[in-house]
Amino acid sequence: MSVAVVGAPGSGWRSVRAAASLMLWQAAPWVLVVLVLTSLLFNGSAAWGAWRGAPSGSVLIIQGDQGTATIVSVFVGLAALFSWMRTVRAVVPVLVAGGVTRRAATGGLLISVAALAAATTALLTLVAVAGAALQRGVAAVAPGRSDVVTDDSAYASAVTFTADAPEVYLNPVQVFPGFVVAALGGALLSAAWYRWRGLGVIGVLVAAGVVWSAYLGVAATVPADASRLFVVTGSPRGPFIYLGACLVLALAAWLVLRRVPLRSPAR
Amino acid sequence: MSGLDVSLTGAVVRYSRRGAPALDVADLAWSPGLVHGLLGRNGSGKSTLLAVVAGFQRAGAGQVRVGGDDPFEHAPSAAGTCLVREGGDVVTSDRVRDVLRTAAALRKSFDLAAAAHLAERFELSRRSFVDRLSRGQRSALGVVLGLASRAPLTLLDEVTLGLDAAARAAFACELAREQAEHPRTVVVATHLVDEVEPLLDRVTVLHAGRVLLAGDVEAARSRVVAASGPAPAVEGFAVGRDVVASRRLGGTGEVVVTDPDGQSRLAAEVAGLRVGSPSLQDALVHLTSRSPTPSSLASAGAGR
Repeated sequence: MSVAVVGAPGSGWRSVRAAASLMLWQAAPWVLVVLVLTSLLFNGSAAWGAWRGAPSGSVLIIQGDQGTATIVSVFVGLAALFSWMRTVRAVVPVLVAGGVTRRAATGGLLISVAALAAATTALLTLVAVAGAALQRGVAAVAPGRSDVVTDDSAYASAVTFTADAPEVYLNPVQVFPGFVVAALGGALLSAAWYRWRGLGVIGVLVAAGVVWSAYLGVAATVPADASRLFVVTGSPRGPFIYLGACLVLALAAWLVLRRVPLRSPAR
Repeated sequence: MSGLDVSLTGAVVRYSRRGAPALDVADLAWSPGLVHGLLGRNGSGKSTLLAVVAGFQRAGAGQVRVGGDDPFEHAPSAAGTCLVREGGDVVTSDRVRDVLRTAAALRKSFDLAAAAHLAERFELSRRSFVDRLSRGQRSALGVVLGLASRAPLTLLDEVTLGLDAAARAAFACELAREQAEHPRTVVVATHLVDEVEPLLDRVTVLHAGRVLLAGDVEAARSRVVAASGPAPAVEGFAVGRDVVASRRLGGTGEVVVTDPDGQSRLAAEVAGLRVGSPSLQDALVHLTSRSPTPSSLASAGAGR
């Protein structure tokens, strides 16, 4: 941050703080709502699917899966990044018109990215932990469940225990209709938000997500003779991928901001 | 004298390598504490000039100085300069009151109470969302932001567009009041000259990116002279002069010629013709309705 704090009067903390505040104010609601709600619905739909989809007598295995977490994080992260880029594009001319140099605006951008990324990472981690706890609780009270295991060693013993039964591998993104609900909810939320913000790339992403989820939700079924059910949840590590993506965005924005001339809006 | 002074020497801005420069200012200076009019037709380079002065973009060549410093990425210059552009650099999804608060947070000199007063004067609801404002209301918001900024260098780019007659009168009144109470350097860029002419201390006329005229209003107006009378006498007077417009109605003719040194006015009087000074708007129309000639460009920068 020293790049923005040092220098002549006018490039100091006031400008940086004001820039960070404006960027946070513009970006935070959208990013937080999308990330938290999507993550919450994602984990919630997994719990719902586990409760209603598992055949009697099966073993429920809850396992954090890095691959799934990556997919979800990238999907949600992309949406957030596009939103943020648009925010930056809209806000920087406001900052410069308000008497803030690009250097101070960059300082504000970095602070806002760091603050928001840290906040969302903490929130998403909480949501992921809460989701896992919810799934464990639901599985424990579901009828016919013989065991709930949460790590690879327990998974190995469970496999041994039910080695002669058919096995079904379920990924909540692929199977649970709840994810469709989540995607539809996200789309409705986006529609409400874009009432003010205008439809952009993120709208296309959400629409694609809805179609994808709807297809998979309809296509996937749980065989009646399945004896084991995997529920693959989002990993707490996922949010940190988002954090990394945010920092990459900040770096890219910094590189762009240094060079882009702010032409007249009429041009 | 309050306000920042501005000078440009050999400042050139190009938007494409092969095309003509959008701005090519050999020599221009704006004195501090005055209201300068930046006049010219659409596409004459007014917005580009203001963007360069405000540090929104950098000139490809030449020297630009605001308060003695290069304004690009220079924090004191940025803090002391407020450019209000036609499109408005505001977050359009915000309410008016949030836009004003943001401006106050960004700029130390911004007077929120003055902004509230101005918003009321222009009948601008502070609860309204910016993207639901009419064109005129958006312009009024720009006026509010510019005047309430109290920036030592306030640049207003086509802020009167869309304002109705009452709002334009209010703008003139409020600008005059602000200038009396908080004198600073103000530049009003417009192609609607009549609206702002009474407010101006100096004018700069741009055409095709180059400075056509720079000086006080009277000097600018006297750069052209209108002579009318019997058609044969008018035609005789026009011979050998730099005619920018002429018309004939029956036996009466009128001709407008450039008059950089007052000789044409004198000659018209000697010829017994009626002599008048066109309005600044007329002078601007006459001067910019054709390509600048070497003779007219030769006077560029002579007046400050």
